[in-house]
Amino acid sequence: MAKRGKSEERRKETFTLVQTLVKRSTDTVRRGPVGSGDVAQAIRLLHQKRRLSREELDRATTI
Amino acid sequence: MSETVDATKPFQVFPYDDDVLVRVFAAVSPTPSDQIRDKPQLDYFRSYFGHFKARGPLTVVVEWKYTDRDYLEDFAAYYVRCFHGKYASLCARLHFFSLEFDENTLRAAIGGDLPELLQKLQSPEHYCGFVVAKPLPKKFIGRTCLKTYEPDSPERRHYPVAHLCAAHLLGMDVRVYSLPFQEQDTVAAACATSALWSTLQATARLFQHEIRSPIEITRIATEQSPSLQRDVPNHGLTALQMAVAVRKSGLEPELIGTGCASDLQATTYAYLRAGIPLVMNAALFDVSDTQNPVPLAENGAYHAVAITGFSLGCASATAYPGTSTLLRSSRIDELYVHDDQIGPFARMEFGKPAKTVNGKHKPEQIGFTLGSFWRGAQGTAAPGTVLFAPIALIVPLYHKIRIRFDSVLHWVLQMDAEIRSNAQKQFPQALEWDIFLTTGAEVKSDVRASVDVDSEQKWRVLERPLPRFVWRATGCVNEAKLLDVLFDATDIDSGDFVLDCILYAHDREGTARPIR
Repeated sequence: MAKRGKSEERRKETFTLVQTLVKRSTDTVRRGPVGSGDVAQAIRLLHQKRRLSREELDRATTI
Repeated sequence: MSETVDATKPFQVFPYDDDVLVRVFAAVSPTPSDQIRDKPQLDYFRSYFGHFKARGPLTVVVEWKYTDRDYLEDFAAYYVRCFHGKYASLCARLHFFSLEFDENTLRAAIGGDLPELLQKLQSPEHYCGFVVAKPLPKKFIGRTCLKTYEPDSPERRHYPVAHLCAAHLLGMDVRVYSLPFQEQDTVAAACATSALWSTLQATARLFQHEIRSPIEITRIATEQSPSLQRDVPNHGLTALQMAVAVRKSGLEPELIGTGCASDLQATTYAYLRAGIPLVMNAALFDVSDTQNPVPLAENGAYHAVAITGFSLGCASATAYPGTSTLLRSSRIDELYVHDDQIGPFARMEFGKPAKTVNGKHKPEQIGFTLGSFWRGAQGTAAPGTVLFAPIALIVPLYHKIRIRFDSVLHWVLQMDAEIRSNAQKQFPQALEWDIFLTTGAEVKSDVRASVDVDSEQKWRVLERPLPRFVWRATGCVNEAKLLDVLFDATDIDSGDFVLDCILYAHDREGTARPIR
């Protein structure tokens, strides 16, 4: 019984921590990719790669 | 030698062999048999039906006078005005069954004398699908719905866009899980229209919009954004025209560049899991001369295919470029595409090398390529000697799916970094993130059925209203779910689009369940 209670308590603690990290991630994402961290760099690169130039779009006639 | 082909009969039954296809197509299409035999689609059919024939008998039933709605639209718009009624309005339709029977046995089954055979004929287990043959020269493969290969392992051969396609044959209802495919006829449709046509067949079922024929798609694509050359006969659409066709179908086009293989894998996986096919525009490179790879089309034209499935064949996930975050989509080793120049659910392989090719003016550096069944050297080289370099994806979306996949990916990369820095004790092993679009109803159904979610969380999710479309990011270790984050796909980017978070009972023995 005591073991079960401890496990339940641990799960609640984990859930609270996850909630905190969720909130922190949301706040960071809302600010946009700032700073020089890995994630910010990766996101900058992602947006750069995803953007298609007008030239590329004009060339994109299919055969 | 089986029965003589006789197109004046209402129907005929043949035991399948490669030659039957050629003889039937030659009876419908004004194309010489040797040209039919050399078509890449025939190569594909031989390999496809060979797969089923190796497992048992295969029989073809040919309906010689079949009215195909898509062809009839194309016929009414163009072919009917060709001089002297040169092209007919009727098609033939070939049905394939993994059963052995002849015409007399089929008549007996349909007449009610062989109820067991009748039941088998109508079962999706034995019905392999159909191919419509159009009475056109060279480009005669019309609406085709073929059964997908059965999965040979839980990881391979996922076709989430396949749905039940119905047909009627001699009063029987036959059904097959597939997604319609057809070859471009180069009049009503080029590859772009064919890819859009297949894609919109799936989205019409998901989002309840009108299903248009190839000529109608070409028309809506070009009426507001005409090109310098004539639109019909059609020789291709621009990305803008394809986007217009999607919008005119009542959906929103999401145009996404494919910078690297990881982006292509992650994006296709995320939307395909929701049953939404993607149109992929790619540049093609002939690598039959390994010393001198060249672009297939000198004018810089691209080819379009519809992405319809994936295989998670890689044993382990790899980190998203520039981060330590593992994505489940990185396990994709093959995509399946409706490529009108090859066939339905044709395989394309990742892992092909980057290339420097001799472009028209200067060498071009191609970051990553996909392998295909195309033959280089103008069709004379071996299959696989043309590589695809993906340029852009067009995803046709319901207007309420507003949050882009990139926004969710951004969030997950951030969250994973937070977990690594602050919750190593709780999550000692790296999470593998499974990110995909789904519906609120599917989330609830999944949570309700899960034995790993405690009662408090379960009721919280079941009782709360959820939007119709939800992004879902599931953190897993060794195929067991540990953490689920739900996002409101109908929100706006600057809003707090995280809806809920579910923690799975991963610390109880034997409760971890593999993900789908």
